[in-house]
Order: sequence, then structure tokens, then C-alpha cells
Amino acid sequence: MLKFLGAMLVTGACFAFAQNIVKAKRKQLSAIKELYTFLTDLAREITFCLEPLPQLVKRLAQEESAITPSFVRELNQNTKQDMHRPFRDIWQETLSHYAQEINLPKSATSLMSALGEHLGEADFETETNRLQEAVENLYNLHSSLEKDNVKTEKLARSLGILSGVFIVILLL
Amino acid sequence: MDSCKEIILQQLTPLYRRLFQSVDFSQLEEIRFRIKRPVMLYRHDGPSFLSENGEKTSIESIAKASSSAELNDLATTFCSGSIYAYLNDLKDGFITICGGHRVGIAGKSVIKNGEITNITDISGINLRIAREFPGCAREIASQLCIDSCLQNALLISPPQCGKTTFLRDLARLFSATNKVVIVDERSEIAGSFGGVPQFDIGMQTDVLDRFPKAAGMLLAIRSLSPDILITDELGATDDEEALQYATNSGCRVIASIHGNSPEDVECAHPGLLNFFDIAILLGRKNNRPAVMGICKLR
Repeated sequence: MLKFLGAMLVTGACFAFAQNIVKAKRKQLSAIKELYTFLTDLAREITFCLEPLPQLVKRLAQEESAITPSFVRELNQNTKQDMHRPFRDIWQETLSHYAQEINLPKSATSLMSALGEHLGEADFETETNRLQEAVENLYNLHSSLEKDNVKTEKLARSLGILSGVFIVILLL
Repeated sequence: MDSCKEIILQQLTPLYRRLFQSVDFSQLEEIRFRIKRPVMLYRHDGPSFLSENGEKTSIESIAKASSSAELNDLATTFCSGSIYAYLNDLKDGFITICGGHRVGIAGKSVIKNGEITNITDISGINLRIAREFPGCAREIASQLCIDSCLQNALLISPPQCGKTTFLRDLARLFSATNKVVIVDERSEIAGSFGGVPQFDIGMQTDVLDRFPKAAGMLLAIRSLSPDILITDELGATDDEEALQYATNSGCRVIASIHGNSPEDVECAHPGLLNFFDIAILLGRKNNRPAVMGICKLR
């Protein structure tokens, strides 16, 4: 009975470990989705009100407080601390912290970083074009990761259970 | 630290914020940043330089010179990192920053379909410090009322003689008892930033910010029913038509124009003086803006 319980525990632990990996992947996916939603909003607002970026971020962070991605909230917080620090510096700093926290895929991080490097430096047509391009790239990345994730999730779960069983056999 | 200095320092790049920390802003009129040349401080008593240590100096060799990257950073910072939001202002060569101060930009123009669309390769930045002197136009205001009837007045002066400062104070003084509209084509009189006038322009004053003068005057009369219309730097061809409309509608006009005398103005803009009852001549006395004379035109 004890052996059976131990075997169940080991298998369960391996499955939970696999489940954690799946969760982290899902979190990454939802972060990418939040980012492209934010960039879509940013492009729309730039077109309509030509507001400077710090004010725009502040408004976006306040408008939809319930569903605002933490990136926007953090960006707004950092901008508030020093309104007149170059916006690209604040963007990069916020992004690196956010990417570390969420474990954002490298491709998404570099995409956001490249966007932030020149954000606000051009006329509004160029700005919106750049933003839309970034949205498109993030969307494509999200779709491909989503497809991969379905496969990975199954694989991770199966491997989790199998490795659990394997360890149990070894121990027995 | 005085609030004017504090507001300006907040809007500089970290480098210049540090350098200007110990500079006295109380008498400062302009700060000029020019590429590969010393940063210059203009006071009413003449120019001086900013040293590498952030002090006022008259020795050019120890003066801090601006690099191209520093100027670009400074311009971007003045635009809150959002050039697209200030492009309409940049086309005219300047932007108004928080506090109502004006930042003039020199560089290379980008022309599209015959129109300036942007300024690149920034080679110079002129930070013109705006100040208000409440009460400075009290003497003029008293002379504009004859038999308790306000006269149409034209302020005539060369640049840097306080036209805008006097207009701002006149708006403040008259708005105590009248509805005043300022047509502020270059955001100088009210110094609006984010829609908020940065100077005290009075309780009953409305501002048409960045409106073309003539269009703004017509719009003001149609929609804001002003008793007094105030505008800066007349001289465009369509201004006369708008002035005609304004004076015919019973509205009083107080405006300014570049020149040295009414004769100068008549020569450059024939017929313009016909719309005004009084000309106020401004100049500089002891290196400070002052009223040099008031003459009746009718």
C-alpha cells in the first residue's frame, strides 16, 4: 500500500511539473496577446488624438484597469516617476523587467525592444505603420506558439506521467 | 529654487538638468544651444556662457559645447519623446513646453509637396523663457479707456520689447469686467500646454490656441461673442478682412505688430492703422521693455 502511495506521489509530482511548464507557456501566450492588444490601442489612440506617449500610456493604463496588462501598468508607473526621462529608456527598462518576469519568448522581447528603440521619433503615419507591423508580427508569433503549444502540452503531460512511472519502476 | 527654474529643469535631459542646477534663472531671457558651440545664456545685460561645471562664465574656452546627439536628445525630450505629437508645431519651428516657455528649433527642413513637414539635423535650440509681469500694462489699460469706452489699440514694437507680455496683462486686466478672447496663433500669449493656459490671463478669457489669426478672429466672433479680441503679430494679407469683420461687429480689438513707428506700419501694411484708434509704441529702456509713447490715430 505504501509503495502504491509512493508511486502515485512520484507520478503526480512529475505530472504537476509538466503541468507547470504548460501553465508557463500559456502565461507567455496571454502576455503576447496582451502586448499586441496594447499596441493596437496605442496605434488607434495616436491616430485619433496625437497625444504624447507618456500621457497616452497613462490614459491607457487608467482606462481599462481591470484588464490592463502589467506591462502597461509598469510602463505608466516608471513614466510617472520621471516624466522627462527619454521614453525609449523607460520602455526598454520596463520591457527587460517584464520579459524576465513573464519569461517572454526572445523573439517577442526583441520585437518589442526594436519597436521601443524608435517609438515616438517619427510622424504619426510612420508610427502607426510601425505599431501595426509589430502587432502583426506579435499576432503571427502568438498563432504559431499557440499551435506548438497544443502539441507541447500533450507531450509535456504524457512525458510527465511516463517519467513518473519510469521513476516508480526504477525505485521498485 | 524658483518655480520657473524648477519647471524648466524638469524638462531638460539629465545632462543639462545637472549643468543648469546652479545657474540663476531670475534674470534669464534665453538659453541657446548651438551645435559644437558654447551654450549661451542671455540676460537683459548681455550674453554669457555655461561652463563645463555648470556655472555662468564669460570665458569661452571653458564653456560647454553642445554635441549633435545632445541637441537631438534635448529636442526629443522637449517633445516628451513623441515627435508625432508636436509635428504641427515643429513645422513652424517651435514648440511650447510646460510653463509656457517656447523652444525654437533650427535645423534642416524636410519638404513634401512644397510644404515644410519636419525639421531634421537639429543644429540649434533656443529656449525662450516666458515670464509674466502682472500689472505691467496697468498704465496702458487706463489710457485705452476714453469716456469708459475701450479703444481699438495696436501695440507697435521691434522684437523682444514685451508685446506679448503687455497683451497678456491687458487680457488679464480687462477680463475682470469683459469677455475676452485671445487668438493665440503661436501659443505665446497664454502659453497653453495641453489645453491649459500657463499664465494668468484672467477669469473671463477664452483662448483659441494655435488658430490661424484670421480664421480664429472670425470663429471667436461667431461662437464666443467676445467684448475684446486680443491677438499677436498682425501682418498677413487676410488679417485686414478679419479685422474689418471684428470692428464691424462691435468687438474691440487689441493687437500687436512688428515695427518702430505708426509710419513704419503704414508703409509696410497700408490701411491697417485705419482699424485702430490708438497706437502704443514699445521699446527698451535700460535694457528692459518699456512704453515709449502712445499716439492717437483718429
